Amino acid sequence: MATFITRLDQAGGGLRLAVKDLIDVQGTLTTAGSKALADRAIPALADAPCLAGARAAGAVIVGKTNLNELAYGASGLNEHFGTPVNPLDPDLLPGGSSSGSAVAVGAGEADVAYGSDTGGSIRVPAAYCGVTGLKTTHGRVPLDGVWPLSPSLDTVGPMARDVAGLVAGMALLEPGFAAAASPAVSLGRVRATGEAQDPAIEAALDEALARCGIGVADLELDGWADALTAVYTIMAEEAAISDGTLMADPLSRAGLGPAVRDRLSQAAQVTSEDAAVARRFQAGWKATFDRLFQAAQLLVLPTVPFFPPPVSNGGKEPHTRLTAPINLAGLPALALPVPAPGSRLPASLQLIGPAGSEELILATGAVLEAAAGYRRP
Amino acid sequence: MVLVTSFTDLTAAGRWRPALDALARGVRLDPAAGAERRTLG
Repeated sequence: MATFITRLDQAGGGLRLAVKDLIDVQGTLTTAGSKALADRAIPALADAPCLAGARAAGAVIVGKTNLNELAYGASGLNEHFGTPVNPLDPDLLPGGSSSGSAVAVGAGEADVAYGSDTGGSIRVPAAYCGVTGLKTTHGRVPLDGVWPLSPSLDTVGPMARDVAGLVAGMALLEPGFAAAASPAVSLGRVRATGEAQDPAIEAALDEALARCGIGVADLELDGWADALTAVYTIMAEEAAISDGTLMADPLSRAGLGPAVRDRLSQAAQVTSEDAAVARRFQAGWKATFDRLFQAAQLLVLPTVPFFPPPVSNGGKEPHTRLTAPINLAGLPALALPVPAPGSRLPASLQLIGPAGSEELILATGAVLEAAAGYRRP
Repeated sequence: MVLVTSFTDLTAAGRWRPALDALARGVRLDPAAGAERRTLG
């Protein structure tokens, strides 16, 4: 039962909400998917503030969901608590780090799940499990009571089976939230120069765009590899700080899985001067997106440039190549499943907007969803 | 093309330090210069 690390049996008649187990829920352990943390944790004394809206709305928290250890990974594999089973195909990775949240909504065990996204951790598992996920604008949803990975990149957002579920999830996170009255009137189809793409996934996105009735401009974006260097550098510098106490304590360090321990050991070599270089690039990267949004209201590219890989491959694929640069820009982004001609698996369309444009993204996502017509098996 | 998924992969491939040094030299500090637009119609 790897979807949930802790099952809860709370009473109520509201939406069923699954919460990623790095978000504090009063009275429960927050493990962040790590035995090292579980062994030293005490039950949370209070809810994370991002849960206040859900509590007020009477949502029923059904459990704390599994994740990549310390959220530092995107495969969905977890050697401590098991790997959640992809509802589309048990032989395929669920994606991560919000693996259990994607599986919970995909398998119908929750109406809405909360995930977190630092480099793609909502969008990648949404893509692999054929569900929807919304990475919110950095800073829109409070991060207090959320185990940090990289605070300047971390975000909390909803996951659901469809766009309507995401709107409901955003209304829990931010009472009063509603999708915009009208969708975008212009979309930019982004080609990340130099990035390998699966033609079937590209075709799936182009088909969805052709059906949606919204004007599309083709945009090319250079500098993607540099953006990856920058975002991974910032993430590493901050992760080494966030998880520094675990690495410094011999007992806790020994309790970490080898994969995340190796990652944190490598991350410790990043200096503040290195991170400053990356942040200088980040400023220019954000300005680049400002200019792109003068050409189109929202941008479209794949969430992941390939279909979900087999679990047996070990999870080494470059899951976050098309998502992490969006975190570097701090922008909101939707992952939306769309049919892929000739494939039993859906592709995932990534819809990106300016800071604070979640309302427009979801209104537009609903149009794309209806036009594309993906139906879950 | 060497595909990477994380900082660890970058370092394992020996590409992180050279890539960061290139950023520091400002070689690619203005990616907007490569952004261009054409209309599909």
